[in-house]
Amino acid sequence: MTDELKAAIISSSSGLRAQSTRIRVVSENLANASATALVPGGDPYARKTISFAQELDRASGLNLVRINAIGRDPTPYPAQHMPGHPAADSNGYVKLSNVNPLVELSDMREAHRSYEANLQMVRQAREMIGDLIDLLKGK
Amino acid sequence: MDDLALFSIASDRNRWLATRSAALADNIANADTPGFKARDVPSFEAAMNSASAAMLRTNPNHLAPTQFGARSFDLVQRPGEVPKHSGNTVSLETELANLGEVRSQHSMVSGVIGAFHRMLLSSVRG
Repeated sequence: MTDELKAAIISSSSGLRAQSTRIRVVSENLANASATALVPGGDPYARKTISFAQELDRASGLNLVRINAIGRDPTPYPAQHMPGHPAADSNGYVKLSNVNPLVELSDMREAHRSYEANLQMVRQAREMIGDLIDLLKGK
Repeated sequence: MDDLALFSIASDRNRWLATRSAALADNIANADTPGFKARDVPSFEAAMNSASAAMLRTNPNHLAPTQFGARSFDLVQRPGEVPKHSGNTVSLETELANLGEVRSQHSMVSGVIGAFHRMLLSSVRG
Protein backbone atom coordinates (compact mmCIF):
# COMPACT_ATOMS: atom_id res chain seq x y z
CA MET A 1 0.00 0.00 0.00
CA THR A 2 1.44 3.32 -0.95
CA ASP A 3 1.07 6.38 1.15
CA GLU A 4 -2.52 7.61 0.86
CA LEU A 5 -1.63 11.27 0.54
CA LYS A 6 0.78 10.43 -2.22
CA ALA A 7 -1.96 8.33 -3.86
CA ALA A 8 -4.23 11.38 -3.70
CA ILE A 9 -1.63 13.40 -5.57
CA ILE A 10 -1.23 10.61 -8.15
CA SER A 11 -4.95 10.43 -8.91
CA SER A 12 -5.29 14.21 -9.01
CA SER A 13 -2.45 14.42 -11.46
CA SER A 14 -4.19 11.88 -13.70
CA GLY A 15 -7.22 14.18 -13.56
CA LEU A 16 -5.07 17.19 -14.43
CA ARG A 17 -3.62 15.35 -17.40
CA ALA A 18 -7.07 14.32 -18.66
CA GLN A 19 -8.48 17.84 -18.32
CA SER A 20 -5.51 19.42 -20.06
CA THR A 21 -5.95 17.01 -22.98
CA ARG A 22 -9.58 18.08 -23.06
CA ILE A 23 -8.49 21.74 -23.22
CA ARG A 24 -6.15 20.83 -26.06
CA VAL A 25 -9.00 19.23 -28.03
CA VAL A 26 -11.19 22.29 -27.41
CA SER A 27 -8.44 24.58 -28.66
CA GLU A 28 -7.99 22.44 -31.79
CA ASN A 29 -11.71 22.68 -32.44
CA LEU A 30 -11.79 26.44 -31.94
CA ALA A 31 -8.71 27.00 -34.08
CA ASN A 32 -10.23 25.00 -36.92
CA ALA A 33 -13.77 26.30 -36.50
CA SER A 34 -13.76 27.97 -39.90
CA ALA A 35 -11.55 25.52 -41.77
CA THR A 36 -13.17 24.35 -45.01
CA ALA A 37 -12.08 21.59 -47.38
CA LEU A 38 -9.13 22.06 -49.71
CA VAL A 39 -10.88 20.49 -52.71
CA PRO A 40 -14.25 21.49 -54.19
CA GLY A 41 -17.13 19.67 -52.49
CA GLY A 42 -14.82 18.06 -49.90
CA ASP A 43 -15.47 17.60 -46.20
CA PRO A 44 -14.32 20.39 -43.85
CA TYR A 45 -12.76 20.00 -40.40
CA ALA A 46 -14.83 17.62 -38.25
CA ARG A 47 -15.20 18.58 -34.61
CA LYS A 48 -13.13 16.34 -32.33
CA THR A 49 -14.69 14.77 -29.26
CA ILE A 50 -12.96 13.39 -26.20
CA SER A 51 -14.19 10.85 -23.68
CA PHE A 52 -12.75 9.71 -20.38
CA ALA A 53 -12.71 6.29 -18.75
CA GLN A 54 -11.56 5.05 -15.39
CA GLU A 55 -8.53 2.87 -15.08
CA LEU A 56 -7.54 0.87 -12.01
CA ASP A 57 -4.00 1.62 -10.93
CA ARG A 58 -2.82 -1.66 -9.41
CA ALA A 59 -0.05 -0.06 -7.39
CA SER A 60 -2.33 2.23 -5.41
CA GLY A 61 -5.74 0.56 -5.88
CA LEU A 62 -7.14 3.86 -7.10
CA ASN A 63 -9.25 4.62 -10.13
CA LEU A 64 -7.22 6.93 -12.29
CA VAL A 65 -8.62 8.69 -15.31
CA ARG A 66 -7.44 7.96 -18.77
CA ILE A 67 -8.41 9.25 -22.17
CA ASN A 68 -10.83 6.71 -23.59
CA ALA A 69 -10.95 7.95 -27.16
CA ILE A 70 -10.58 11.08 -29.22
CA GLY A 71 -13.25 10.73 -31.88
CA ARG A 72 -15.02 12.76 -34.49
CA ASP A 73 -18.39 14.39 -34.10
CA PRO A 74 -20.77 12.83 -36.69
CA THR A 75 -23.05 15.89 -36.76
CA PRO A 76 -23.80 16.83 -40.42
CA TYR A 77 -21.90 19.82 -41.76
CA PRO A 78 -23.90 22.97 -42.32
CA ALA A 79 -23.76 24.10 -45.95
CA GLN A 80 -23.68 27.67 -47.15
CA HIS A 81 -24.20 29.01 -50.65
CA MET A 82 -20.88 30.63 -51.67
CA PRO A 83 -20.29 29.98 -55.40
CA GLY A 84 -17.01 31.91 -55.46
CA HIS A 85 -15.40 29.85 -52.70
CA PRO A 86 -12.60 27.46 -53.74
CA ALA A 87 -14.25 24.60 -51.80
CA ALA A 88 -17.71 25.09 -53.34
CA ASP A 89 -19.29 22.02 -54.98
CA SER A 90 -20.98 22.05 -58.41
CA ASN A 91 -24.14 23.63 -56.92
CA GLY A 92 -22.15 26.42 -55.27
CA TYR A 93 -22.52 25.10 -51.70
CA VAL A 94 -19.60 25.05 -49.28
CA LYS A 95 -19.65 22.63 -46.36
CA LEU A 96 -18.66 24.42 -43.16
CA SER A 97 -17.15 22.84 -40.08
CA ASN A 98 -19.58 21.44 -37.48
CA VAL A 99 -17.76 23.21 -34.65
CA ASN A 100 -20.06 25.35 -32.55
CA PRO A 101 -17.91 27.95 -30.72
CA LEU A 102 -20.52 28.31 -27.97
CA VAL A 103 -20.37 24.59 -27.17
CA GLU A 104 -16.57 24.68 -27.23
CA LEU A 105 -16.40 27.65 -24.88
CA SER A 106 -18.76 26.08 -22.37
CA ASP A 107 -16.75 22.86 -22.58
CA MET A 108 -13.61 24.89 -21.94
CA ARG A 109 -15.14 26.48 -18.85
CA GLU A 110 -16.15 23.08 -17.53
CA ALA A 111 -12.67 21.64 -18.13
CA HIS A 112 -11.19 24.66 -16.35
CA ARG A 113 -13.44 24.12 -13.36
CA SER A 114 -12.47 20.46 -13.07
CA TYR A 115 -8.80 21.35 -13.55
CA GLU A 116 -9.00 23.84 -10.70
CA ALA A 117 -10.65 21.29 -8.42
CA ASN A 118 -7.86 18.79 -9.13
CA LEU A 119 -5.27 21.47 -8.53
CA GLN A 120 -6.87 22.36 -5.21
CA MET A 121 -6.68 18.69 -4.24
CA VAL A 122 -2.95 18.54 -5.01
CA ARG A 123 -2.39 21.73 -3.04
CA GLN A 124 -4.27 20.41 -0.04
CA ALA A 125 -2.53 17.01 -0.04
CA ARG A 126 0.78 18.85 -0.05
CA GLU A 127 -0.30 21.02 2.85
CA MET A 128 -1.35 17.95 4.81
CA ILE A 129 2.01 16.29 4.19
CA GLY A 130 3.64 19.55 5.27
CA ASP A 131 1.62 19.54 8.51
CA LEU A 132 2.88 16.05 9.30
CA ILE A 133 6.47 17.05 8.62
CA ASP A 134 6.00 20.11 10.83
CA LEU A 135 5.33 17.75 13.75
CA LEU A 136 9.02 16.91 13.63
CA LYS A 137 9.95 20.50 14.25
CA GLY A 138 10.32 21.25 17.93
CA LYS A 139 8.40 24.48 18.36
CA MET B 1 3.78 5.10 26.52
CA ASP B 2 0.98 2.63 25.80
CA ASP B 3 -1.02 4.34 28.52
CA LEU B 4 -1.36 7.27 26.19
CA ALA B 5 -3.77 5.82 23.64
CA LEU B 6 -4.08 9.32 22.31
CA PHE B 7 -1.17 9.03 19.92
CA SER B 8 -2.40 5.82 18.33
CA ILE B 9 -5.95 7.13 18.04
CA ALA B 10 -4.66 10.38 16.56
CA SER B 11 -2.53 8.59 14.00
CA ASP B 12 -5.45 6.30 13.13
CA ARG B 13 -7.55 9.39 12.65
CA ASN B 14 -4.88 10.96 10.45
CA ARG B 15 -4.63 7.76 8.41
CA TRP B 16 -8.40 7.79 8.01
CA LEU B 17 -8.23 11.41 6.84
CA ALA B 18 -5.45 10.53 4.38
CA THR B 19 -7.53 7.66 2.98
CA ARG B 20 -10.49 9.95 2.74
CA SER B 21 -8.53 12.57 0.85
CA ALA B 22 -7.31 9.87 -1.55
CA ALA B 23 -10.95 8.89 -2.12
CA LEU B 24 -11.92 12.52 -2.68
CA ALA B 25 -8.99 12.99 -5.08
CA ASP B 26 -10.24 9.97 -6.97
CA ASN B 27 -13.75 11.40 -7.16
CA ILE B 28 -12.52 14.80 -8.32
CA ALA B 29 -10.24 13.23 -10.95
CA ASN B 30 -13.19 11.20 -12.26
CA ALA B 31 -15.67 14.08 -12.12
CA ASP B 32 -16.17 13.83 -15.89
CA THR B 33 -15.85 10.06 -16.35
CA PRO B 34 -19.10 8.49 -17.59
CA GLY B 35 -20.59 5.92 -15.22
CA PHE B 36 -18.22 6.71 -12.34
CA LYS B 37 -19.79 6.39 -8.89
CA ALA B 38 -18.52 8.66 -6.12
CA ARG B 39 -16.84 6.76 -3.30
CA ASP B 40 -16.00 7.64 0.27
CA VAL B 41 -14.77 5.99 3.46
CA PRO B 42 -17.28 4.98 6.16
CA SER B 43 -17.37 7.29 9.17
CA PHE B 44 -14.35 7.13 11.48
CA GLU B 45 -16.49 5.76 14.29
CA ALA B 46 -17.83 2.92 12.14
CA ALA B 47 -14.36 2.14 10.82
CA MET B 48 -12.89 1.97 14.33
CA ASN B 49 -15.71 -0.25 15.60
CA SER B 50 -15.32 -2.74 12.79
CA ALA B 51 -11.52 -2.73 12.90
CA SER B 52 -11.23 -4.52 16.25
CA ALA B 53 -11.63 -8.00 14.72
CA ALA B 54 -8.02 -8.29 13.58
CA MET B 55 -6.88 -11.85 12.86
CA LEU B 56 -4.35 -13.46 15.15
CA ARG B 57 -1.11 -15.00 13.87
CA THR B 58 -0.92 -18.53 15.31
CA ASN B 59 1.63 -19.82 12.82
CA PRO B 60 4.78 -18.06 11.58
CA ASN B 61 3.72 -18.90 8.04
CA HIS B 62 0.66 -16.73 8.34
CA LEU B 63 0.72 -13.41 6.60
CA ALA B 64 1.87 -10.72 8.99
CA PRO B 65 -0.51 -7.89 9.77
CA THR B 66 0.62 -4.59 8.31
CA GLN B 67 3.29 -2.83 10.29
CA PHE B 68 2.41 -0.99 13.52
CA GLY B 69 -1.06 -2.53 13.29
CA ALA B 70 -1.78 0.05 10.61
CA ARG B 71 -5.38 -0.15 9.61
CA SER B 72 -6.48 0.37 6.10
CA PHE B 73 -9.91 1.74 5.48
CA ASP B 74 -12.15 0.37 2.76
CA LEU B 75 -13.91 2.62 0.32
CA VAL B 76 -17.64 2.36 -0.17
CA GLN B 77 -19.94 3.90 -2.71
CA ARG B 78 -21.38 7.09 -1.32
CA PRO B 79 -25.17 6.72 -1.04
CA GLY B 80 -27.74 9.32 -1.96
CA GLU B 81 -25.94 11.01 -4.84
CA VAL B 82 -28.05 11.87 -7.84
CA PRO B 83 -26.52 10.55 -11.07
CA LYS B 84 -26.01 12.95 -13.95
CA HIS B 85 -27.00 12.14 -17.50
CA SER B 86 -23.71 10.28 -18.02
CA GLY B 87 -24.33 8.05 -14.96
CA ASN B 88 -21.65 9.94 -13.01
CA THR B 89 -22.51 10.75 -9.39
CA VAL B 90 -19.64 13.13 -8.55
CA SER B 91 -20.58 16.65 -7.56
CA LEU B 92 -17.53 18.92 -7.42
CA GLU B 93 -19.23 21.14 -4.85
CA THR B 94 -19.74 18.25 -2.44
CA GLU B 95 -16.20 17.05 -2.98
CA LEU B 96 -14.68 20.46 -2.33
CA ALA B 97 -16.80 20.90 0.79
CA ASN B 98 -15.60 17.51 2.05
CA LEU B 99 -12.08 18.52 1.17
CA GLY B 100 -12.30 21.60 3.39
CA GLU B 101 -13.65 19.42 6.20
CA VAL B 102 -10.72 16.99 5.84
CA ARG B 103 -8.28 19.91 5.83
CA SER B 104 -9.49 21.41 9.09
CA GLN B 105 -9.79 18.03 10.82
CA HIS B 106 -6.29 17.08 9.74
CA SER B 107 -4.74 20.27 11.04
CA MET B 108 -6.64 19.85 14.30
CA VAL B 109 -5.35 16.29 14.78
CA SER B 110 -1.82 17.35 13.90
CA GLY B 111 -2.14 20.25 16.33
CA VAL B 112 -3.30 17.91 19.11
CA ILE B 113 -0.38 15.56 18.45
CA GLY B 114 2.03 18.50 18.52
CA ALA B 115 0.55 19.85 21.76
CA PHE B 116 0.75 16.51 23.55
CA HIS B 117 4.23 16.01 22.26
CA ARG B 118 5.27 19.36 23.74
CA MET B 119 3.65 18.39 27.05
CA LEU B 120 5.59 15.13 27.14
CA LEU B 121 8.81 16.93 26.31
CA SER B 122 8.27 19.53 29.02
CA SER B 123 7.71 16.78 31.57
CA VAL B 124 10.95 15.10 30.47
CA ARG B 125 12.93 18.33 30.65
CA GLY B 126 11.46 19.22 34.01
